[in-house]
Amino acid sequence: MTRGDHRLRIAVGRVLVVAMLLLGWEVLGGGLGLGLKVVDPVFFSRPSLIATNLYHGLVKGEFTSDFLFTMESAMSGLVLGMVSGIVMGFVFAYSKWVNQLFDPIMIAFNSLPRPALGPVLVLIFGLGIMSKIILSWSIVFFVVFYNTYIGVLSVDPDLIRVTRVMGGTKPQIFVHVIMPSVFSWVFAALRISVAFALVGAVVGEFVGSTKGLGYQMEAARGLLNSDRVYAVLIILMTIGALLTEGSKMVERRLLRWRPPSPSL
Amino acid sequence: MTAEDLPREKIVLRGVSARYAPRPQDKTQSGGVEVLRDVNLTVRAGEFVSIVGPSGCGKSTILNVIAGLWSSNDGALAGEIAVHHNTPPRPLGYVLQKDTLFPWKTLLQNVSFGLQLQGAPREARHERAHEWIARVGLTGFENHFPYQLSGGMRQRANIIRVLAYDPDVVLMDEPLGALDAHTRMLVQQEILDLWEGSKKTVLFVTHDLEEAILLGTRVVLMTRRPASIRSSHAIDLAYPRSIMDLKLAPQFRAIYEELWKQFCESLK
Repeated sequence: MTRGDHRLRIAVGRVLVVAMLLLGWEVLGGGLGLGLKVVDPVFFSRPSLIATNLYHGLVKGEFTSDFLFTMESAMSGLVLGMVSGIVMGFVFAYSKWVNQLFDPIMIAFNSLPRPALGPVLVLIFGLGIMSKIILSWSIVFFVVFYNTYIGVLSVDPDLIRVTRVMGGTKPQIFVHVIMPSVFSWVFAALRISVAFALVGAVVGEFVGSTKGLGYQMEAARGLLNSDRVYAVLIILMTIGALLTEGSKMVERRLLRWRPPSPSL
Repeated sequence: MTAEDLPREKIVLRGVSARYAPRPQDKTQSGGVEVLRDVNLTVRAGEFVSIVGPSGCGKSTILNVIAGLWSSNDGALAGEIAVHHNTPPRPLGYVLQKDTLFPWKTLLQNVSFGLQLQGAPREARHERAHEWIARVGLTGFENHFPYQLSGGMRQRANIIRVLAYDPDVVLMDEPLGALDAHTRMLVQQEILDLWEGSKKTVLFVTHDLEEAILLGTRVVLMTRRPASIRSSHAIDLAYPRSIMDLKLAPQFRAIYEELWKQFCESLK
C-alpha cells in the first residue's frame, strides 16, 4: 500500500465517521420521516433543521453584523493582549524591582478563572464592545506575558557571549539574539492566544451584550430556538478552526527555522 | 635571533590568576574555586598555539579571560591580560565547541553576521560570506537553517562565521570535540589550510594531544586545576601539513611520545 492510498483511506474514513454521526443524530432526532424521536429536537435539534436555519440565516445576512462584532472584540483583544504581554514580559524579565513587586498580583490574576471577570467588566464598561475586548485581552495577555518572560530568561547565554565577542553592542544583541529568541516563544503560543481571544469575546457576550454571535446564541436559547443555537455554534466552530489553521500557517512561516515537530 | 626579530606579541598573559566566586547554593565551596594560578603566556603574531590539559583544568577560562568575557560577577581576576590588535582594531574570533550558530538565521545570514554587526552593506557581506561558504564546500546550503545541516557542516559554518569578519586573533575552544573521528580529521585539515592561507594568530584549546601537535606551531601543556602553564613546546613539523600523512610520520610519533609522557605526568 502506498502512502497516497493510505491517506485517501484515512480521508474517506473520516468523512464516513462524520456522516455516520450526523446520520445518527438526524434519525434519533426524528428526522428522515422515521419518526424515531429518541432525543427531543426541541433541545437537540437535528442536522437538517440546523442546516436549513444556517442557510437562511446566511442568505438573509442575519449573522453578518454579529460576526463582525465578535471578530472585532476577539481580534482587538488578541492584538492588545500580544502587544501588552510582550512589553510586560520584557519589563518583568529586565526589572527585578517590578518583578518582585508585582509578582503576587500577576499570579493572583492569572489564577482567577477569567470568565468570572465578565460580570465585573460588564458592570464597569457596559454592554458595548469594550467589556468584551477587555475580557479577551485579559486571557491573551497572560499567555503572551508568561511566554515572553520565559523567552527572555531562556535566551542561550552562549549566543549572547559570541555576539559580544564579535563586537555586538547591547542594542545589536537585543535585536539579533534576544528578540528572535523571545518571538519564537510568543509565536509558538499564537494558536492558543487566538483561540483564547475568541473564548474571551464569546463569554463576554454571554454575560451581557446587545450584539455578537454569543449574544445571538443566548437570545435564541431564550426563545427555545435550538436550530439557531446550533447554527451559531457551527459558525463559531468554523471561525475557530479557520483561525487555528491560519495561525498554524503564520507559525510555520515565522518559525520555519525550527526543526519540524511531530506535534499537531 | 634577538627579541626584536621575533614577530610582535599579540596575546600576553602575565601572572593571571582567577577564582570563581562561590555559588550561593553551594556551601561546600565557601572560598570559591581557584581555576587559574599565575598563568604566563605570550602568543606572537601568526602563531598557532595549542593548549592541552586535563579536562576541567581551566583551559576554557583562559580563553574567556582573553575574550573579555570574565565579569566581576564571575569572581576575582588578577594579573595582566593584553591583546594587541592590528589597527584599526577588529573584534576577536571565538569559536566554541557547541556550535553557536543562530538557529533562526540561514547559513548565509550566520556567516555574514559578524560583518553585519560592523555595518557592512548587504551585498558586500553576502559576497564575502559566499566566498567562505565555497571554501569549506558548503555551496548550495546558503539558505539552509542550522537544523538542516549535519554536525560537521555546522561546525564548519561556526568556524567560517568567525573567519568571515577577518579577526587577527582567533580563539578556539575544542571546536571539534563534538565531531566523529572522520569528520574531525577533515575539519582539522580545513582549519590547517585556512590558517596557512591567512597567517592569523590562533589559540586553540583541546584535550586531545594528537590534535594539538598536528595543528600547532607550539603546544602548551597545562597542569591540573588550578591551572598554570606546565611547559611549552615548539612543534618542528613543516607546513603545509597533511593530517593523514603526518599521523604516520616518524617525526610526529617522536614528538607525540615525548609530550605524551609529560601529559600523563600532568594527569597525576
